[in-house]
Amino acid sequence: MKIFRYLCLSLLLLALAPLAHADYLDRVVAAVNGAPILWSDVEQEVRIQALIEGTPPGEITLQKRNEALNRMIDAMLLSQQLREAHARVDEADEQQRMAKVTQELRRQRHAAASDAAWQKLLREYGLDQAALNEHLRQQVDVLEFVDLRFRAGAQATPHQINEYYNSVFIPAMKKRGAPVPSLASVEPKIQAVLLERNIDEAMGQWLKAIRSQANIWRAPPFDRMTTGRL
Amino acid sequence: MRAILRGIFVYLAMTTISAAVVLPAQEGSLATDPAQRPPSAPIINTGALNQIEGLVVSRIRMISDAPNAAQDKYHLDEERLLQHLTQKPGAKADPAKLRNDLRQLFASGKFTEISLDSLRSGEQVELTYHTLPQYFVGVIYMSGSPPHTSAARLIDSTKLQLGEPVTQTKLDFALQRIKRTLAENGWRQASVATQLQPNSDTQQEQISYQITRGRQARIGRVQFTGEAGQPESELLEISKLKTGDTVGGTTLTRAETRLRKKLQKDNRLEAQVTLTSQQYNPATNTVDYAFTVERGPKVDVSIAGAKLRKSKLKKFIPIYEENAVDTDLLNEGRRNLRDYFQTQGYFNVKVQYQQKLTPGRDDIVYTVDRGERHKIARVEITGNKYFDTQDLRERMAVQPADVLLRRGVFSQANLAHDVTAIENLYKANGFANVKVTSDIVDNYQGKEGDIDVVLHVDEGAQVRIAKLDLEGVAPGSANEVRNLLSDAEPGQPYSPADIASDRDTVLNYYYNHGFPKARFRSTSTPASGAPNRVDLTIRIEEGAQVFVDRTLLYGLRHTRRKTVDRTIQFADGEPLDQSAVLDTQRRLYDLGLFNEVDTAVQDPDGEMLYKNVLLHMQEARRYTFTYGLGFEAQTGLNNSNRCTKTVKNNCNPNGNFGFSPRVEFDVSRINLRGTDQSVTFKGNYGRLQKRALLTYTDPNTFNHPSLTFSASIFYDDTQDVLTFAARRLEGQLAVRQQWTKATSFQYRFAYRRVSVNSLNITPDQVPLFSLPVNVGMPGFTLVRDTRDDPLDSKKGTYNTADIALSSTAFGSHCTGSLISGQNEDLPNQCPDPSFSRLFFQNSTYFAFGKTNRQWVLARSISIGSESPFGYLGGLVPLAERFYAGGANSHRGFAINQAGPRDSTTGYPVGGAALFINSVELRTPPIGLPLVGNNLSAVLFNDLGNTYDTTGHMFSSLLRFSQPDKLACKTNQNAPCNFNYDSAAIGAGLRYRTPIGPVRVDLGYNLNAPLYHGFFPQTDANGIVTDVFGTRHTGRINVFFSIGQTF
Repeated sequence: MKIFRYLCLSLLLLALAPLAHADYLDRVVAAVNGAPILWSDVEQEVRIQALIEGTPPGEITLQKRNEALNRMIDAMLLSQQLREAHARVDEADEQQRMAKVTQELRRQRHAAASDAAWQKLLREYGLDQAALNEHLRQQVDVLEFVDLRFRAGAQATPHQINEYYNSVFIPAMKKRGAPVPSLASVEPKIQAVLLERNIDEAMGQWLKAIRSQANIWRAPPFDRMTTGRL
Repeated sequence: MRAILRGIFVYLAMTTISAAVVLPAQEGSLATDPAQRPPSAPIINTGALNQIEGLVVSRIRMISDAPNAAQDKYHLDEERLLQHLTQKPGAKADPAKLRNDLRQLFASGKFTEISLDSLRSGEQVELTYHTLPQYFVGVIYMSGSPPHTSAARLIDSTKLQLGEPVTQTKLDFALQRIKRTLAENGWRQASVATQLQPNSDTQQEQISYQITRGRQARIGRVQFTGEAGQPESELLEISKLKTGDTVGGTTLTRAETRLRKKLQKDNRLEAQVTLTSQQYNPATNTVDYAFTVERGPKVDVSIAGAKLRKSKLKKFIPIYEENAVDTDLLNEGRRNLRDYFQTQGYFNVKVQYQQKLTPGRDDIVYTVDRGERHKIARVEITGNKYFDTQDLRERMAVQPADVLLRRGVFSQANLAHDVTAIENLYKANGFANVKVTSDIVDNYQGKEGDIDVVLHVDEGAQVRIAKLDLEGVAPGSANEVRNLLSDAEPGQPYSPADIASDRDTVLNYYYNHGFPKARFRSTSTPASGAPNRVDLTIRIEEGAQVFVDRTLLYGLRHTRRKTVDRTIQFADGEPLDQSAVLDTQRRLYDLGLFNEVDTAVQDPDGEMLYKNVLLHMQEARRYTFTYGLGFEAQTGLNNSNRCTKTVKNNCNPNGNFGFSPRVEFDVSRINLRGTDQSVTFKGNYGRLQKRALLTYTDPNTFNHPSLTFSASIFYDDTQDVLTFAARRLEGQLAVRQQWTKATSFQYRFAYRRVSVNSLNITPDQVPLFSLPVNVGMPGFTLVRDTRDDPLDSKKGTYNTADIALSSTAFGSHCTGSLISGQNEDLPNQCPDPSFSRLFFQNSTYFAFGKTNRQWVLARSISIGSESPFGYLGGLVPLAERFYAGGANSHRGFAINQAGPRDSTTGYPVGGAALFINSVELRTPPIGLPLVGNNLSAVLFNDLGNTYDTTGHMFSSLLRFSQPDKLACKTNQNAPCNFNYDSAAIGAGLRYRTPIGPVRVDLGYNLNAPLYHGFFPQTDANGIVTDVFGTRHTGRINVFFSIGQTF
């Protein structure tokens, strides 16, 4: 009788076994010079991006997640360079800039009126203020570092300004049918644009160089919405 | 607003950049290992971590998803890792902690992939980490490496480091580098296959490369373009690149060098030779090369206003070395010339240059206005209170004139250097505001050309430490760390240099106690209310302590593990001691069994607290054969004909010159029975010397590292002195004990048979000495050596004491008999070759003078005594007696010429006692052209002799002239007495080389002994005959040798 009871219990457990499946919670999806990036990091990144872009959370695609991971790998490389350079960011300035970005974001997303509305919006995206702050802090630090690293060497030469004025600015104004201002009146603005472009180019090349020297591993592109073992 | 836009800009810029640079990188650096990675990565349910928040964690476990995982070892690591997780079983699940744990586990370096899953049961959840193991670089094998491209070089080219994580990126780079190295050496058809053999137990991965090399490429077409000034055919000839020749590793660099040198020889210093393209043609297996050759202008450098050798000009003007002409180099040349003339005494020299560029020419003229020649009469330092003048002078390059430096040393560069050196010294001792200025006073004390250099030191206030805070040190080691800080104590001067030194000491302490990531930071702030005082804070970030998990040995084929284990200075489970690892490596090299010993920590950057230590050894060849054929030459050679009373044929007691062909053969066998024991045989055969030595050596005798046992058999047929040639067969057992670093003992027993032949003395004068004897001789030697450099000692002492006893009890006996007919009065029997032998040497070295120009007073005393005893009074055989004279002995005599001599032939017969006292004054380097600071001089005095008996030695110590000299000189039948101290003075030069100083000494004997003998004389017809007479030994003796005398 006892044996029969054990047998029944075993059969019952066997029958219930398929129902007790394991849920995957998180995993390492990339590593940059040994520093891991988790799936949950990617998920957070892609949601913050959606929040900034105004994309509804339900429309976050696999493509977006793959792009976010690539972007995070670059950001991680920059952060590591920042740490190696022992670059220090003024904390007060950092806080001020983060607050301004948050304020602008709230204004753009029509959630500036009340904190409650803003918190509700964050919850819709599965985020909280701390996660957003951390994200923005990293952005500000990297921006500061890039500024320090490249601005001094990224000069817009008179020749470049002239060339931009003649080959880009004038055709654009003519196309819009607007009167063409003199070079002297728009020179500071063109210089600023060119400066940013030169910084972009220098940073792009530099990033390419450090990426080629870095030890990067990433999981194959996300292409299915399933759970499973490694 | 701008800041916001920039914030967004960064965000957007990052997106743009990612798109721009990620795509190409995905092909290379983002490659994944298909063998280890799943085909695609799954998406995890969004917010899954949040869904388990607050549930009670019933269990946390770790599972390796790798096939064939070594579960026993794995569980050990699992336990260690799980202990350090922040999410504990029994606590409520916290997503932040779980994310943190996932990162920590990955940072351990043990895994390539980690994922976390959960199994929910009611309000409880079971967590499981799934892992794939990381493998680390193990032994690398390379097979099929082509000729002239060694396997070791190819392995080196992979840049894979023992113990570092294996990644696909690194493997790809390694493969590329191997192929590139092969291609550079002409093996362009080569294919390389990689095979990985992971060991799941050790997580080490053996990497094997198999090369299929194909045929070596050949040179195809070679083209030259550019303005070379020479036809292409000539360039081709200079480069020695011939179509059809094989392409080697140095083919191109040699060709480029040849072309460049040829053009530079023609003063085309700016000539450019560039390989613009190399095109490989697989069909023909040839490589076409294209060079651009630009010869540039002809550069002519001349000097006006002074004379300077061309070689010096090339040395001082760097355009010759750099093969470029620019303003910087020309100015550097100007400064070099100025400094050179200043060191010659032209302190006001002015050097200018003019460059004239014309088509095809670049003429550079340096104009030198030397001005008056000066002498540094005095160097004065004023204002110094904390350091005395001598301390400061020792750091200065500017020197006043003295006996060796006729004009002193001065140049603007030297003066600037001295000012900086003195300022740095003060700053290092807390004088942060020190100022040193210089004045140069010409015509010092009214003497034209004399210069007084005055350095004024304004010390300023000395900053001292008011308070020291030591932070971050574990309580257990706080005292130890505090003791390591040399002078960083309240009240002591605040010295950044001392703190930097303390930093190294403290970090070494941590590195040697298993804290590889220890950090040291120091900050100083002005102390409140105390001027010139600082509060010093030293903060130590200890980091995690790392322990040795296991010691993994690789590369042992013949060597026993036990032999290696003996050298390992760390143990499993103990803190990872960096110095012990290095010490182990040194000891492994010291075994002499390995060509290469690599040590590494597995995954040095990983966060695991227990790490494997890897020792990879490359065994040396066990057999080494050396053979050679050559000539041997020797001066002072024993005459082949006996020179006795009856036979007198060109005796020449000073010896002859002889040479002979010589064959050498050595063989050694190391790694005997898998240990560090070895057997070596060394032999050489020639007319002048026949020698064979077989030695067995066992270091670490009885497993004691300070004991070395050796057994040897030695055969020698040679001559040590002019008097005789000896044949010696000897066996010796010896144990050497290294008691301390400076002190060693040797215990030995030697048994030898020595027979004397080619005797040049009259046997009836010394009948007993010349008998063949067997000598059994136990002995003991004590050596204490505290010299700083055995080759060229400047300080320390060297002491030896050697005691030996020959007796019939140890097997000593005569094996021959007196030569019949020599002396009818003596019975035909032989005395015992029983004697005691004592020998002591004491040498000391004392350096004095300025630190950078030290003189050395060196002295040495040697005392030896042999006392015969036993049957018929005992006997000290001829070959066992003391001899003196020569480059490393008494320099008033030629080699072995001191002491008693045969009364008939005049040949030296050695003594039963020896006393030599030498004193040397060694100068600092003498700065001379061509030799620079490599030449120095010595003055010496050697005093002493060898004596008939020990008693005669002591009674003669204060006798400085030859006794009965008049009788010896006037009466050829009166025996000459040699029992006195012969003194020599002399001088020598030393030229510093890496193997010790090469030296030449000239000694003058102040009281050379007179002696009787046969001397060759040439009559009017040119016929040489030996005539009995009386002469002095040579008063002037010249010696060439390597190394200091003592």
